[in-house]
Amino acid sequence: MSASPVNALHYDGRTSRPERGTVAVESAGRDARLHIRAGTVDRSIALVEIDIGERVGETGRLLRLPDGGSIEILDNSAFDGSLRAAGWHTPEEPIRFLEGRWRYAVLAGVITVLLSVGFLRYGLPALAERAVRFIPASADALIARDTLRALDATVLAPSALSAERRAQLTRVFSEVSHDAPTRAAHFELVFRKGGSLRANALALPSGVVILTDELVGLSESDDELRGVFAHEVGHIVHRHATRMLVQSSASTLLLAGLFGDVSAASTLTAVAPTVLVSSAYSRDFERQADAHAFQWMSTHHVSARHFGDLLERVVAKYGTDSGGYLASHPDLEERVRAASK
Amino acid sequence: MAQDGETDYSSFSRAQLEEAFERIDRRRFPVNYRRLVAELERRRAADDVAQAEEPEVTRYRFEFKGNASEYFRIWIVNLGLTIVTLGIYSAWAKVRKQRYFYGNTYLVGSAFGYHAEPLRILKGRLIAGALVAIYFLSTRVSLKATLAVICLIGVAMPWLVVKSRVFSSRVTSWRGLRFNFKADYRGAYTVLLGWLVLGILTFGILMPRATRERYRFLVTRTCYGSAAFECNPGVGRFYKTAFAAIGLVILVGMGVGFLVLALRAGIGAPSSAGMTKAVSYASLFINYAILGPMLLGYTRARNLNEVFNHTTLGTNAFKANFSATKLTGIYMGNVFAIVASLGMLTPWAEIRLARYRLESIELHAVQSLDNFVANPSAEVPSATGEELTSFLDLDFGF
Repeated sequence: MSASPVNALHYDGRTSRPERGTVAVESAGRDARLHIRAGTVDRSIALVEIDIGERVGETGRLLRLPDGGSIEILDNSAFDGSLRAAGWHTPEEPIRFLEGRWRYAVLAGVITVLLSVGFLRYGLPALAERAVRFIPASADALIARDTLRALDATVLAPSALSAERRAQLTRVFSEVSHDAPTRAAHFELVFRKGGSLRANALALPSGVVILTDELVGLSESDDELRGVFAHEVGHIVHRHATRMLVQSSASTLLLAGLFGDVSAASTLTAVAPTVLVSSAYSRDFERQADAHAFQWMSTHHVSARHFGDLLERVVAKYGTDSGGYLASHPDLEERVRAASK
Repeated sequence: MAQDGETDYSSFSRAQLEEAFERIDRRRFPVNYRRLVAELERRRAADDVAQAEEPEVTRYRFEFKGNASEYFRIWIVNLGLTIVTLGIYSAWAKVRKQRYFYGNTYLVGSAFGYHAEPLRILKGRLIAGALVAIYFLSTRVSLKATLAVICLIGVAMPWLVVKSRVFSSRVTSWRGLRFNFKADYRGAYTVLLGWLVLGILTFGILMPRATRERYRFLVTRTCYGSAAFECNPGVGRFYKTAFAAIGLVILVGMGVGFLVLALRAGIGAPSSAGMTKAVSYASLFINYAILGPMLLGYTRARNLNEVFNHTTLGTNAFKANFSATKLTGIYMGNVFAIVASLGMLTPWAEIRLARYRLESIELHAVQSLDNFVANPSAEVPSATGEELTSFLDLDFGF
């Protein structure tokens, strides 16, 4: 059996000289041969010895011949027809089938969006929660020490609070932290002047809570600060800092893998989704820490209203976009509403 | 009506003479006819002499035949498969994507070929991914670890760039011959690290020179078959481009400054939190969607023109005519399209950029392009270097 010849270019692999001619698939199955007629070339090679390059879209197939020569097919559909007639199949046929039809493209788009959003929203946080159990407390301590050192070197300054006030606040803090349901963390309250972080409290993974003088200054009662402490303890109990580390690294790598390689002009397209995803994670953590704070306050008969009052005062002073305590936090009104429930 | 013998053929161009010769009524205008023939013969002889002195140059354009709707389906189907297979398929997806772009690039009727094996790419990706994950975690754990890793990457960078170039050159073919990249590690350290460090130490004064050396290194170590590319761009042009780019930034910065002042005078200082937010988003937007593409479009267009216009392969020369405005427009349009479509127009953006890049380059050939000779076949190295450079964005592409 012999199929009709297909237009092709033949290269001998030694020079860049093309010979225009034809190829034809002769016989079928394992005995199938490719007959090449181009310029002075007239020979027949067993198909099993030829490396048939894959076809993508309408690009011409490249065939690699055993002697280093190659063939560029100029009429893909005719050649594919001859292959099929000879009972030959190329491995990329299924993928080409999918790529060639809009309905599968749409399906692939839906799957891509659902799976990646689902994974980023639910899968990755669940994985990170499990993964941090394998990260030892000593690693947390190392991260905390380095972070505090870096903050001290850049934004924070020594606290101006009196030793008396500090001792008093430390007592209040241990009241909140001593019965926290965690074994790994060693709770410790440190005092600093906030600088550009302003009225703020930060929880570092090992159990260190940084409290700024500015936030102490804005507070009107120790109950308000109890709310803040309970919130920060919530971050530590749930190991949010370490989870954030795992989640944002993984999501950045993932997003860069999906959309990163367009060209340097689109840094925005690589950065924007990462920032959006990270701030979504951060809001989740704040909600969880708030829930922890409300739980502690209700079991210790402190009105959750106090926490809301302090938040409102921070907003009144700095506005909602002052960064620091409110940056990447959930909507303030939502939190105050939750606090007054 | 014209009289015979009135026409002055010496003022005609050669083409006009040929045309007149086709049309002339030799019976009605015998004097004109004789003069025309004499003039034409004189010109033909002169042109022959000129041609013998100056070899004939044939201009070949690179041609790109890909289209966005076809590539969109290929892209999305491969992306879907990559996600469903937890990333394993990404190596096959990369090869298909590369084959699409290479296979649609034509020069003198022959397409380029991409021959990387997906399994090798997968192996390289896994190793590179693990290393990048370590780098990433270290940047979030401790400052010291971050500095150490950045130094390590800096020191490894020239080696990685060479590894990546060797890989991607050796899997590229045209007319059955492979490209190659000379594994010149010493040169890579001198140029890619040495000049970079000099540029930094001189507060950027030597940076344009470093850029020029980098381009020159990457082009001159590349071979097609056994023929090496030569490249000698002028240093001055890189300095002019750099100064003009700085001027551009200042100009845009001043424009934005005036706009902000005018707005403040008109509406008053940002009073509400919403306004502050709007201002910070606007400045982000100006940075990424306007200033970034402008700077990149301008410097890339100018530098690439300079590099290509001084690049030769044997007796053949390259010519590029990138337009800074067009390239900037493409970069800007791509950013807008990708952001507005939440990524769905990514394939369209890639196709548009590839087409403009390729169709801005010509090859001016003096001899036939049939006479390049193969190099004894070189082994394709592992893909780890190639994958690492693309993960870390060290790939100094076009």
